[in-house]
Amino acid sequence: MSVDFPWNELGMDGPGDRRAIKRAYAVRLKSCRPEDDAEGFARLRQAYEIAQAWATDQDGQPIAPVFVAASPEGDDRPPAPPASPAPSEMEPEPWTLARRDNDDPQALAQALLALEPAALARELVESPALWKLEVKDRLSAILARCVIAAPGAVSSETVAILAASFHWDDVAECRRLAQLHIPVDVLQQILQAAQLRRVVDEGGPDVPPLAQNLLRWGAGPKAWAYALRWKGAANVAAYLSQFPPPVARLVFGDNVIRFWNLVGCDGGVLALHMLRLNLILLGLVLWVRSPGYPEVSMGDFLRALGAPAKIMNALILSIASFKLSVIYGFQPISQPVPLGWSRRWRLAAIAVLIAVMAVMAAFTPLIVLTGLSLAIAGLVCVTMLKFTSSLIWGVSTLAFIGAGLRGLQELSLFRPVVERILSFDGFWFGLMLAALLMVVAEMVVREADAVLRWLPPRMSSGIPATAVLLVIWLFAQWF
Amino acid sequence: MIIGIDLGTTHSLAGIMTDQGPRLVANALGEVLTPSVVGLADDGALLVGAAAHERLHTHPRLTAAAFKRYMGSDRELILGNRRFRPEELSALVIRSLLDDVQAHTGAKATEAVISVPAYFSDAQRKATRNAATLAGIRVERLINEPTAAALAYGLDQRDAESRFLVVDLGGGTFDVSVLELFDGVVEVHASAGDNFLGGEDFVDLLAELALADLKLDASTLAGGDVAVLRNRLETVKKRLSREPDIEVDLPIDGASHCWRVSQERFIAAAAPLVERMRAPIQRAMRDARLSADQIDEVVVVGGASRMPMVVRMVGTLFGRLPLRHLNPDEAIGLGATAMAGLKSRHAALEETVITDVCPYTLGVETVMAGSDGNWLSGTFQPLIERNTTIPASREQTFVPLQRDQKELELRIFQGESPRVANNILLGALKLQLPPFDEPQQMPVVVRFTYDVNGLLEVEATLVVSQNTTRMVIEQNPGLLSAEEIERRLTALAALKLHPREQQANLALITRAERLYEEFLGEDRQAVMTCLVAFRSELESQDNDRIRHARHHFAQWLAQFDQVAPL
Repeated sequence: MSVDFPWNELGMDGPGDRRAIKRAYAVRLKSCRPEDDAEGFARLRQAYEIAQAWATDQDGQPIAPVFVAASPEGDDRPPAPPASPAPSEMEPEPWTLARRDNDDPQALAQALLALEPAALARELVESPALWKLEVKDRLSAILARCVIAAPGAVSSETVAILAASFHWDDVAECRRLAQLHIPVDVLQQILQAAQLRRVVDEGGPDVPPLAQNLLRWGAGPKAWAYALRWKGAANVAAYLSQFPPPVARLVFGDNVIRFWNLVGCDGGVLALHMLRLNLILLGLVLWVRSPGYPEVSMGDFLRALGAPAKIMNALILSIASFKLSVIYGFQPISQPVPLGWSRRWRLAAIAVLIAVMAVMAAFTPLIVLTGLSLAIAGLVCVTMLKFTSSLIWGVSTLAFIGAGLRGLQELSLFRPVVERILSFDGFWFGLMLAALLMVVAEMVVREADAVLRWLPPRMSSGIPATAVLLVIWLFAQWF
Repeated sequence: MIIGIDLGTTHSLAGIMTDQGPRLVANALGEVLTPSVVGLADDGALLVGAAAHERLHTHPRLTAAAFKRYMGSDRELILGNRRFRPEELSALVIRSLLDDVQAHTGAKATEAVISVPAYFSDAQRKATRNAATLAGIRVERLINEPTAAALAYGLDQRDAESRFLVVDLGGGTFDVSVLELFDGVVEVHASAGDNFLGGEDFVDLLAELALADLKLDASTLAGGDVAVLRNRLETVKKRLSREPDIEVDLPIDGASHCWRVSQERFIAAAAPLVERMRAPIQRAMRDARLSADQIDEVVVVGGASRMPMVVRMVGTLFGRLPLRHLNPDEAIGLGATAMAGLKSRHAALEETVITDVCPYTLGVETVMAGSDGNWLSGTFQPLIERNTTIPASREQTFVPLQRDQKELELRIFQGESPRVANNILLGALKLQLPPFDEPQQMPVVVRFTYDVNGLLEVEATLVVSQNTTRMVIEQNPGLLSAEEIERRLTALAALKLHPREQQANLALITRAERLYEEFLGEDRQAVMTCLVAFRSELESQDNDRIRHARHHFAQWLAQFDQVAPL
């Protein structure tokens, strides 16, 4: 391309005013029609657009678009024309609006954001100020910035109305906003989140019930119950993975996402959780078989289990420990332990075995072998699975130790020793208290307010919740 | 001979270029407007036009209308025991128009320029082309309807220099174009529109109001009743433009219901529809980088633009009354004909050149780096932006995302959303990549070429090997393949259209049949008597007598009919 481009292409001797450019273009166009000579026309058109930007009588914006397209040859780009003046960053400028109060755009934006969605929709349509393109452009940028800065502060309905009115889902508008250094991708995520939120809130046949339930469950007991279902957690994790993480976080909340990612990322992990839960419950069952009930028949056993305080006790501890184990227990959970299938089956088999043995231990008077084997099995599990870093294992381990001792008691060889230990009245009491203190310590150390989020929010901070737990447990001991 | 065709939702027109300018061709009934309705007659032949329009009421299951709205989709309409695609129905309308042209000029047309809404998608344009192929005529150029209107307008203003806006509210579509006229050049700056907004929607609105007032449920109405209702309300809509208050009899289920509606009520209820027109107008203005005061003239065309509320809305937006000196029904047909003349290098149009734009953005799907360092997939990267003057050719360089990528898939989308999930997929191109170390070392240059006829060609070149893969976006879901077209062409050619000479008589008979169904009691008997008399006149085979009888019969029926003739 020569130096005289675009003027030579148009057949002009040099730069001219807009009228002259148009005339020259019209003349050339007659012999270089678009349907006849596509390449020639493309060159002519490019020359025309560039010439317009450099017309000698430029007063204000030129008529034709000034952006330069890639040249047809792909090399030798012509120099870019001076860009049209871009709106400057948010400096307050002397501003005249066709409004009564003559607000500046910032104030107008704030006023709009304060409106209810229905009123906002009406105002955006009817307000004559917004019929001017320059006003709309400035407001669009300001409002986009507001929404990005505080996504939680603006309701999803408002976001949807603003997006429709200011065309934030239009690729040309996004490019304009990007030129003003507005992070358009974050805006898109917020729009997506608002859309998703509205869809979920409004319900309807297309919304998967899972989405609505996710919002209602949070990370509470119902969520855990669902997670324990066959493939429950995996389904939820798969559903959430459809959305970009920022969008999912905006709609469902950080905690919920984390919970489901932890629980649902690998079925094997959940199997481990279940195994642990089984073991803990087993320990508790054995504790029920405390020295106070040496010979327990099925009826007695059930009666013992039926004691409400003990049930509540068992429930609280098991739920708390499950929750703890899910969130903090397995280390490191951010890189889930890949479990081969053989290992999973082994774990499942052990869980079943332990459950069976627990039932047997409750019924048969032959507790010797049962108790011993349980103790050994427990220790083997603990060492094999290598979860020594989890304090929760302390609970189950202690329970096994207790059961083991109980079993040893039957053996005449060890009876005196064991009876000496067990005769200590507070043995069982001390055992459980120690376990509880370990739980407490872990909670306090790891800010376990998430543990008891199922309690009313006011009580969800760690220390009051711990105190409540302690009180309940102590209360239960009196019965 | 190249002719121009306006294939509208409610009416179609055809025209030829003469030395005095474009002239529209009249059909067998002597009218230039042919209703875009196709019906199956009792003897199995097909009816197109006024006769079919009348049969919408009497034989709703054997008649189809407003099928332009389904162009580009797979939706099939059932006529009797036959299924038709919208392209086939349009093809039948085109065939009827071609017959009219042949009757008028004595020569057969070889090629046509057909008008389409500016905002028609790729699939819809292809469907229109297919319809022409199925009708047995070649179409190389489609013209956007507002551009056609602008051409019709600009033909009178050869030496003027102005920027103007064309607002086209047709039966089923709404288009807006911003144009500039100088030195014989008609240049389109920007186009926008709404493919599902038209006069029919206003009739739907009146139907809703009527049914709500009469406390009837739309789903309980029989097909014939619905057609009658719509026909009557169409007239009401037209009359409301002139009269402040209308009272009309609506025959439903054999009983006649009287309904009143006022102009104010109609305007208030139609406010949302009118509001929908604002967004495309503003977008076209914005894309053209013009403000309202830089527009010299506003031109409204399209049958539905006769409604004062439309004129008023446009007037409020631009601070002046729009020009309406062009016949709104005929402007587009005249423009399409002028385009045909341009294409055939007619002497009268030597000084005129048109440049048009592509109405939608074309681009590819990419993965972009977000502002927080994340990779965002499903991002739409435009290559040819909307309202770029065509033919246009643009290129951009892309690189693969990952180091060990063996294949690069280019997915081509059309639409305006920054996320491809909301855009329309046109096609995909796969490139095999040789092994490389860094993604930056394997750039791929992608070039989009969009020609005047709306055909997109995609070229992807691997810079290192200079291997180019080309693809022309041909196939679209919802469209017919070439073999399908061949098959349907033969099937369609075998279908008989009712002979042209009998069309006038047939239109009258079907009209009488419709009135027979609508009326009750004495009026009904009167219609039947006259119909029988007319039929017996037809049997006489004497052309003069028939013409005489037809004339009288038409006059007599016109007195009875509450519906204004088309």
